[in-house]
Amino acid sequence: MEDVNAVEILIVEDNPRDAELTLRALKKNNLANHVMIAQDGVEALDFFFCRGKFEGRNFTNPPKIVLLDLKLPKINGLEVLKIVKKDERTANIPIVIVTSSREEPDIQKAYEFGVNSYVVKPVDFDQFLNAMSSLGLYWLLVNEPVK
Amino acid sequence: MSSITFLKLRQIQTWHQEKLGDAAAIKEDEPLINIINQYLNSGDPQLRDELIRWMKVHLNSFDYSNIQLYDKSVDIKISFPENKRISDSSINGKIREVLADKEIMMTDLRGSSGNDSSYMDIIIPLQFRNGSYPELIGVLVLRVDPSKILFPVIKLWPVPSRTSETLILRRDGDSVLYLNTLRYRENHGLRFRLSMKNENLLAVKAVLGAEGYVEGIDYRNIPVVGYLARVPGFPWFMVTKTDKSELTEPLSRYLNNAILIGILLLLINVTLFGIWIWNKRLKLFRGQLNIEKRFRDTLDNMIEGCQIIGSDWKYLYLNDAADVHNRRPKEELLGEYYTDKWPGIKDTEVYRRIEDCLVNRVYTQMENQFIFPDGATAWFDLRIQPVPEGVFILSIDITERKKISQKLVESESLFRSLFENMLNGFAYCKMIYEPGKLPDFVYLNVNKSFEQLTFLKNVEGRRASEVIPGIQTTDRELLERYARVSTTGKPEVFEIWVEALKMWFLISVYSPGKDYFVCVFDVITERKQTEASLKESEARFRSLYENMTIGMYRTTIDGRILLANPALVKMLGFDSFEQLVDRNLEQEGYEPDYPRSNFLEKMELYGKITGLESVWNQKNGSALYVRENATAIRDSDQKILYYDGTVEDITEQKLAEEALKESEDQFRYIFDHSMMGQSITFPSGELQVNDAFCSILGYSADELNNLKWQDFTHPDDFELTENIIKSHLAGEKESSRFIKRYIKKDGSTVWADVSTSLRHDKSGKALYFMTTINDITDLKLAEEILRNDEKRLRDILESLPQLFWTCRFDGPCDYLSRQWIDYTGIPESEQLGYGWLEQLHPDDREKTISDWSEKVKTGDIFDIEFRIRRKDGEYHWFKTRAVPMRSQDCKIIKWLGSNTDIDSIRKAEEQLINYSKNLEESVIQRTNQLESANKELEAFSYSVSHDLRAPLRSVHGFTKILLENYFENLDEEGKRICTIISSSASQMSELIDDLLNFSRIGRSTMKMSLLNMHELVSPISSELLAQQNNSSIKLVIGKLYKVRGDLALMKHVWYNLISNAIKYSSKENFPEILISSWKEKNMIIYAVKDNGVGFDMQYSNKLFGVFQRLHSETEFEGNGVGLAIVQRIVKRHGGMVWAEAETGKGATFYFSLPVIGIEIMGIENFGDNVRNN
Repeated sequence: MEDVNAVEILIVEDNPRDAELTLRALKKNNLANHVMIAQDGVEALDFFFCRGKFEGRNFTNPPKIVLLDLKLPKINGLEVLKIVKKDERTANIPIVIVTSSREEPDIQKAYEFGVNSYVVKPVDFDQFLNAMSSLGLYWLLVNEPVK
Repeated sequence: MSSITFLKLRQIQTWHQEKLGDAAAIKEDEPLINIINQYLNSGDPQLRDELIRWMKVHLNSFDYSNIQLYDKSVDIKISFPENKRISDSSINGKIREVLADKEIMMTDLRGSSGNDSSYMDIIIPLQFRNGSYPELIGVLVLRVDPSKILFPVIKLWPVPSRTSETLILRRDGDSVLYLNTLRYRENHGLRFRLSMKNENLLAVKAVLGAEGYVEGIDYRNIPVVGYLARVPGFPWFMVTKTDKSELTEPLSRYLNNAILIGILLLLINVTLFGIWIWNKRLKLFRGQLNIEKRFRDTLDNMIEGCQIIGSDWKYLYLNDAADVHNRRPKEELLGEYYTDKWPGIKDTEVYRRIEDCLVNRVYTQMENQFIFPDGATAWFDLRIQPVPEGVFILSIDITERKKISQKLVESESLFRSLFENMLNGFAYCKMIYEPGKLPDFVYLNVNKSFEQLTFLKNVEGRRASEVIPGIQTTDRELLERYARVSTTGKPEVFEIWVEALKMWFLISVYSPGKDYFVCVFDVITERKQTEASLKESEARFRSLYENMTIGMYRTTIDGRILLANPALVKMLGFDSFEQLVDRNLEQEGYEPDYPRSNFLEKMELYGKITGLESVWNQKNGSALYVRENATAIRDSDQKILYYDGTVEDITEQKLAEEALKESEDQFRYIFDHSMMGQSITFPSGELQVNDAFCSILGYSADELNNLKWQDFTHPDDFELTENIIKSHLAGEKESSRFIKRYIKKDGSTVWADVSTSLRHDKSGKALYFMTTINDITDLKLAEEILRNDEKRLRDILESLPQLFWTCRFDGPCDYLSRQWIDYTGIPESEQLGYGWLEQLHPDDREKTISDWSEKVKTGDIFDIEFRIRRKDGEYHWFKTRAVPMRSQDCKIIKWLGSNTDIDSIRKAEEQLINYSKNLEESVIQRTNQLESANKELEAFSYSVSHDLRAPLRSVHGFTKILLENYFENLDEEGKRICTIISSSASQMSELIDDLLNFSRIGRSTMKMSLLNMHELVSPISSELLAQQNNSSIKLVIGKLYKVRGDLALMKHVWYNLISNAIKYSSKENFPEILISSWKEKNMIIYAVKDNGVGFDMQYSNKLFGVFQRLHSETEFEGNGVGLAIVQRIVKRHGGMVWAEAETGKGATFYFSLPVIGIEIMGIENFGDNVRNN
């Protein structure tokens, strides 16, 4: 398993095929070295709050970007977002919602809870690649995180 | 013993604090309360299991038998263990108390009725801290099983004692309740209690507040010595006791035992409470080591005197109290011989007892009056007990008690002699009530006077009904009074005639206790009889005095009044005789026109007067007519000394005579001058008539006197007149009134209203007829005319379709029109009065009756609708209206009413109401259905939006990957298929988007504002044109009216229509598009016209359906959602969409939007041409 303290990108995605496509997009840009995939909301929260199987993780090593799907088993993406952004230990971690839906209420809620960006996954693979690459490049290379 | 008590109190206190500490810990246990709160809100079985686990652990760690969770409405939510569920309702009241003041409560020990155990409850309020505000969510009840720790702690007596025992008690009303398990008796479930009356019981002493060392008996009635104390923190008392017999063992052994007690107690404590109280116990341990010293201290400080006298009769020990009792300091006595210090003591009982104790080693007790050397005396209660050194004497000063008891004996005998010797009767009795019998009582105790006064012998122990047979029925009141006093306890004093004894009694009764009474009485029959006879004679006298109506007087010759009886005083209008004394009859006693000289003359002449009528002056000046008898009283010289007379008031008689005379005059006058004809006919045929009578008949009075009544009566009325005269003469009638015709002197007929009556004298003999006649000829004529009029009106009335009726002023119906009779088919006679109500529909009757009676009262217009039964049984609705007809003085004479058949109107109305009701219901139903369908749709589209796209992305993505990574492995056909797969996936994704769009547009809320259509259309057109490769499209925007609408939705409309126009005309050589608008009535119509491919109008009905297309995908791309969206939006705005086209000749799409308000009228925008260049 990836060293949990070195994770730069956390993908929260229950659909393994979507996860694979995302990974592929990141790999194309050489961004897939420190990627961790969480398969549901509970696992994601365990990661964020360094508990459960992520007990060894340190709050001082946050990921540079979290790609969060909305429809997730157990705890859905919006709830994860709300909890993470409410807790001052994790509030500064950049979170991008990456989802199939462009339902207006979802978008409104996400921004209300403090999401950093909201991206609708295109069905077209080329566009999808494009979107994921730009996301990865921006947040890992361009964006300056809180130190 | 005190040390054991002390120790046990400490143990109980520690246990109590531990319980409260545990409760406080639970009260503050936030995580636990959090879980409880969640459980109470959700009822989640997982949380329940968690709570039960906690309860189980808690139960095992402490001495609880049960834990129960209650919510705030005092419903049991969890009970663990379930089989020990607390079921008594008394706990609920306590829980409510705890819920109210939010403090932990520990209830007292109680016995449970169901099983044999006793218990106490700790009730803990649970407050959930939601933010800063604590919310009360329920209580936990911990049921303590005292048999686990508390009772063993109390019970364990660590000394090798045969009889010692510690008890916990509570006062419960008039008894002492033993709380813990007992050594000599079973006490399951707090069932053992003893009465407070036995003051020798240690338990009773304890409960009454005694503390320290006490002697007495215990619950087995065995003499014991005990130490009493209160239990802090509880309403309990502790008795630590040992049988007296055990205590008589040598004192030293007792002392040794005490040390042993300390050590053993220590051991038991350590094992019982564990290491955690070790430190506390260490402190106690040090105390135990000093117990011998403490015991000596205790003796020193006792109130009772203690002294030890050695076998050699020398004083060995004396405490301070002994100094007081001996009246000399211990220093004077210690080491000295007892016999030396108290000379003469050898002859006393005390000496003998001490000696006996020294020699025979037996315990003894005595009350002794001690005589001090100085002659003073005091009483002591002495307990003399052998000890190894000699004897131990415990002395208690009972001098005061002795004095009091001596006094009591004296006063008792005093009262007894008083009771025996008193003159009043005394009886102490008890009431007896037997079912079905009258109350009775039994004599318990009577005094001598009782027998002397009542002549009843040997009554004690016998019933009243036996001693005085029949008293229960003859003197019910007496027994009732006794019963009342002995029940209520209120004393009564009363006088009563006892029929059974034929005596009057004055009785005072009081009750010394329920059902007992004491009566103290005196026989007062004689007094009563005297009283009664006195009353009788006085009454007779008074009656005579009051009823005397004849005045009596004595006057001097010159008129001064010497005597006058009350009747005369009253007659003259005075209040008392004294006022009359000042009057002089000579001067002012007679009316001015009646001189006294008349009286004096007659007296002088005859010496007496009888029946002289004269007029006297009353005090207020009015006249008093009197009839007087008087006698002159003369002296031996025949000289008149004074006059004695009687006076009778005849004023009324006189006045009546005068009035009669006057009235006769009046009547005569009335007779002569009356406007009515009056006649008096004597049996002789003589006739007296007045002027009016003469003028009515045209005869003179003299002429009439010579005629018989038949001469001027109409022949048709002979019989009538004859009959009336006969009936009067036969005494059948007093008076009669009738109408008859007379024949005037000139032969014409006169109608007359005649009243006549036959007068009789006192003996009943007929005197004369008095007749009054009134000429009513004119009235009769008018009546005739009226009767004709009425018939005509009635004919008209009865030809109308309405039903008519009239009612009397007070309600009952007196006329029903022919229509009513025809309609109901019931004869009028059966319906008059209130019979018509029978024809009303039963449901309408009550309201009609109440309404009608109200209107009859108030005189308001009666206006009501009700159903009347037709003769075929069918009911018709009628509108009924009645107005009161009033006389000139506004009194109601009659009610005029009509009923109009409104059945058809009424039925139509009912139908209408039914329709609208059904409509409303179905609208509500539909709305509900729609709402739920809408919700389902929303949920559906949400999951479509999320879940349907992910697999598409996989299809698309992996096909692309296949193409990229395995390009070489695929032949051309394979590559083509991959392309088809991915483009199909893209298309599917677009379809999903469009579908979602479409459903969203139908659901979104509209934000209406005034839209400048020109500003809306212009950029859309430019944008769409810019996307085209074809630059030859000519797009013209004409004038566009402003309109109210939702901006975002309206953009959709334009976008779809313009893009359609561009799409379908783009293949033309010179594509032209024209956008315009105009007003038509209340609508604005917008049109987008193109010169493209057009369509066949026969398919126009399919244009606006979802996914309906008129062209193939290859001809024109698109999925057929656009126009459906347009239609949806326009319809939501209240407009219409339609199209006109011809294949190959272009199409025009129209939509209309309603004009709302006036704001947009006349505001126009003239468009410009937009070109794509």
